[in-house]
Amino acid sequence: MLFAFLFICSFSRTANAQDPSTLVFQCSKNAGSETQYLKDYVVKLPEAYSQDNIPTHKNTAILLKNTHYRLSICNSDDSKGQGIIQLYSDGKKIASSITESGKIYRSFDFECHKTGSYQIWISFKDGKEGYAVGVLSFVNK
Amino acid sequence: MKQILYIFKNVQGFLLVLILMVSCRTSVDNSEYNENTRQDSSISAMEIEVSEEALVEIVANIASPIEMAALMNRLGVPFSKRYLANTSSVNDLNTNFQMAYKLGIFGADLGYLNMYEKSSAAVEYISIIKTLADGLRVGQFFDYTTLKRLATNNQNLDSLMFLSVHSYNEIDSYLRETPGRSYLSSLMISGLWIEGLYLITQVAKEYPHPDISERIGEQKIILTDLLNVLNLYKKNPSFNELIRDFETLNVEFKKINITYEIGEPETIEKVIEKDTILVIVQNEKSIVDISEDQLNSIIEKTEKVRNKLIGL
Repeated sequence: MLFAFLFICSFSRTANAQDPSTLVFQCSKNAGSETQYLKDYVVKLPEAYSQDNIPTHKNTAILLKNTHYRLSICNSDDSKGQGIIQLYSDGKKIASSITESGKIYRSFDFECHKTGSYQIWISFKDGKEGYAVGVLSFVNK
Repeated sequence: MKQILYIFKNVQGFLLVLILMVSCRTSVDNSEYNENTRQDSSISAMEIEVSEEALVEIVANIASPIEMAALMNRLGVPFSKRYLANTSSVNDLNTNFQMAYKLGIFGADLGYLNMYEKSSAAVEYISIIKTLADGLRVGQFFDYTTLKRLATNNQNLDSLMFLSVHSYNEIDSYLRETPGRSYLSSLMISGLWIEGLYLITQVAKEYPHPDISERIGEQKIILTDLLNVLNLYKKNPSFNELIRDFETLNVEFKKINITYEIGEPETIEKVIEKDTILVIVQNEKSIVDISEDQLNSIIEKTEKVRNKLIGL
């Protein structure tokens, strides 16, 4: 009986998605040994009802002039969608991990020359349901 | 009869498993509930007036002092322990207000120590931070054992840095998202910010450099955001005093002129460690116009405000 209980309890834990802290740590490591982790954004989004209204996780961050930032995105093993990270300034998109041809990069660098408030958007390609973490770091070495 | 007993036995077993699972789940829920409902009576009443959503949006917008320390390090400014806040008075702190504020102060100092790889000196700060985090009941987000081991053994400094910053992010997120406790996040952020500013202004006094002056001038933007957050709590006398102190600094920052040059970003592909990455170079620029007199006034006022606040 105890065995069955432990099995069910452990299954109910592992059935949940990947541990966010582990995913953040992995993603910050993937960003490269020359980077310094600053912030992370753990994002779980449902499937889009329509392609015109794709769910998006939005955050703001102040980025500083003459600083070389790296924005990375890492998908959880069980994520159905591929995460996309984008950077906006004053409502205008200035950088994205997906190109116009649809190629997805796991990170992009941003050489900042204007101190100010920026918006970091995370969504999933084609509005699929997904679980990913975005990591903001700066290149330090 | 035998069949009825067999069914009863199985149903009983199933129910037992179900009860155990439910109790397992509710014990987690209860601990979350208890943590969430333990509020600070002195400030919780006024918190009703604060829009939590607005706070999350604004506080997430405050920059990290790590970038300040990185700039000093990059410019070859030597490390100095003189800049750091004294840890001796921590055990005398008895309000959440003081503890949250100092959690920020010592967090900035820890960032500075880590950036200069002074891991043995960081041990003392890690211990103090753990005391404060426990006092605020957020010690579960600060992995003291691992941090202390990494710092003591002077090993894996990247992990030490990651874990330090990540712990602060976790504490901040938890406080911001927990009803009745978001004011503690704004205090922690205030402490981080003023100590980061203090560190760089002390460096500016001894090692003047245009990049350092510009970084100080840019704080005008951050202070504006920070004051927006603090003003949400201005009805509280302690907050009111903190706001007044920060306003004296704001008077000086308002004199600084920041202008912008328009430009379109350029995207290039770079190969780094066999991996192709996109590099976006921003051609829009911010230009900080800060005179020597303005800089000196900010240095002087920052020192006064920070020293007053660490003496609270």
